[in-house]
Amino acid sequence: MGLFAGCGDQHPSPRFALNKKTLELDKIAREPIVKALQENFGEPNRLIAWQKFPFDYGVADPKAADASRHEAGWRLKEGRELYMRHCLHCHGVSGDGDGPTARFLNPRPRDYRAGVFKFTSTLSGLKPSHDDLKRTLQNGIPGTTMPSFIVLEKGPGNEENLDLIVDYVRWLSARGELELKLVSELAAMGGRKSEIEQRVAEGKKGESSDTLESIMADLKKSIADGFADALQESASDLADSWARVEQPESVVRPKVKRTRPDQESIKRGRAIFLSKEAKCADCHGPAGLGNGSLTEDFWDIPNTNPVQKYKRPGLHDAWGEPQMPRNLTSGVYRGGRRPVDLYRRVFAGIKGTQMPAFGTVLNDAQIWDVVNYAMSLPFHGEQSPYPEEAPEAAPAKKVASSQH
Amino acid sequence: MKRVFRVPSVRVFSVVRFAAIALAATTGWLLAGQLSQPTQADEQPAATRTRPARAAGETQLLAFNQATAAKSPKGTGAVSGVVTLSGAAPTLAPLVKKGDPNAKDAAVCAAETVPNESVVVGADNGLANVFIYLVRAPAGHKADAVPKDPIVFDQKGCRFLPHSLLVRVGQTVLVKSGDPIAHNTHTVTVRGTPFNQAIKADDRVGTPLIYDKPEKLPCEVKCDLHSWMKAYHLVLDHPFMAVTDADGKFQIAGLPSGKHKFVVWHEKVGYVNRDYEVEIKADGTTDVKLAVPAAKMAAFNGPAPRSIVVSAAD
Repeated sequence: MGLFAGCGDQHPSPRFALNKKTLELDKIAREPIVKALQENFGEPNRLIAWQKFPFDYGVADPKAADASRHEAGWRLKEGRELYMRHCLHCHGVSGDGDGPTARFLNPRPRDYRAGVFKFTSTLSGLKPSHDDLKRTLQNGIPGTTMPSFIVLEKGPGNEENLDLIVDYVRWLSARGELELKLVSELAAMGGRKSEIEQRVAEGKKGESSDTLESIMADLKKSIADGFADALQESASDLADSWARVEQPESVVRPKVKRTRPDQESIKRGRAIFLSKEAKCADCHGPAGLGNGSLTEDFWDIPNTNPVQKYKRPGLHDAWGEPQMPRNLTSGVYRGGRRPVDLYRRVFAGIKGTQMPAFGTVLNDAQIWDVVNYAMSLPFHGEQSPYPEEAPEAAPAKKVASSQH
Repeated sequence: MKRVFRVPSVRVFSVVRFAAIALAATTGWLLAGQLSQPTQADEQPAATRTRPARAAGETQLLAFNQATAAKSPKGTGAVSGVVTLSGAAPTLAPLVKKGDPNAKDAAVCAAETVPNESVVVGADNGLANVFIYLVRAPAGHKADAVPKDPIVFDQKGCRFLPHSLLVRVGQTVLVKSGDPIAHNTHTVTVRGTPFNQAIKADDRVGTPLIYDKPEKLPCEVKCDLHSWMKAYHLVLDHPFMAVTDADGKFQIAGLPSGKHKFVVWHEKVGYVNRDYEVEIKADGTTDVKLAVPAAKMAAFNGPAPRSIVVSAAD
């Protein structure tokens, strides 16, 4: 027994980790963010369901057989149990994509805190709908280490499990994104450590009248004047963006049915793919291998002033990770393999990546041609599922069965 | 010629002497006829001659600024001024050299030189593309209607025109293209919904881009198909913003009297001044002068250099 004495008699209670960007702020600027997160979201063992967001936290149901559902917020709690059991290993307690297994995985697990999800059915720039996230849980993400969790909804009483996880993930994402939004608000108030140091140095050199005391006094005043508004505004923005995607007009729906994937359509699709009006080949390569010329270009990190460049050439995603355009010959479609999934990738682009939305450039028929071409790429020559066909024979007559 | 001399010069002299001098200069110019004329740029020292040719998009931008400046209701004041670069302007290599066969989409993108517009210096060392704005509308400012006319944001020769744009939340920006190849306009917003749309080749109708939220800093606009293409949009929910013109001049009108704190921001420097305090007098114009040290423009861009110790051979 004495063996464990030095380790304390209790497990430390889990905490939500702060974003690295929050740690770049001065202590004075960090405090209100930490306080706002504590007050509005709590900690993993003390969840707070902020009513501002359009998430279903669970209404109290006093008649439920399950006693845990007698009080409000039960869905959030159950979502947490499931998340902690099945998701945390990769996605981390705070949804930062930095769980214990994360470092061994390529691609890295998604960091939800940016509020950006790649594979959605929604218009360009919008968040995923509840159903999009649920579909990801059901199907997993082929080509990555994200498995399918469809077994979780099998069996009596488990029907809602994936919905509970989705709602917990959306809540975690809102928490993380609110933190990031507040960081940008406080950075705009002058709360970044590096900037304060620079201003103090300039003041000492006599280039400005700033002193550490005057800068801190200004910062404190800005926080006192503006932080409460910034918190409410940022949270409202976020709540709106999550509510908006549940509206039917936010979902991308093809206006015409898919063109039959015959050789003609594939040829037209190939022409569009290689054209200078669509420029698909610039990233995906002329043969669709994901090796276009832009993968060897050098890019600036966006919104850095003075401008910084990425260390490595090639494309990068919103999380700053290098990304390869999809190799279309592999036949692995991360966002789903239904033709409509590919249609949506082309029409609305892929969020958080450099894949733009082509809905303004190509019409529906053209997008279907591109989809048909992309879906033909994994097949070569004789293997092609769409060989040049002889005219179809008349369907054989079905013989009436004598069953009754 | 006759038309020029018919100007009632007496009245001109009595009103604004400067205008008369300008008129005299113009007259001289006209008398000289079609002989080659020294342009203003030729009279500037070599270091300041980085000002690019004024493009179609810039006219639009100036028109927008003037529209803001013209409406100055009674009891309000204006601030006008000039931002200069103190010291020699850095020499920046063009982003794409004319005729460079290795440039991406060389037939279109290298048809003309694409200048590096991260530092643009005009007459009298005036620094262009400096944003001056209030983060929030001053207290008591009544929300005014967002201008209905769309602003044009164009692309020509793989270059965004204009480089700096002022936009109101809810105002339509028509993203056009004069190039026979596809472009992609990708806004890196912090608060608002990002926009990442491919733009048609030779799109003269324009794809609408509407910002839904104001931003704290000018947001970067890039093209993912041409890595050098970059522009900045300042999106605010009020009209109190300006960007310096090719000669570093700006004006913001219609400000309530009193002290205001402006953000002064330049893409190469970041914050030039985060709290630039200006006192606005009712029915008056406050003139200000701002200088940006050239040393700030020379900041090293890229990953920090690593020192490698190489041991001497035995």
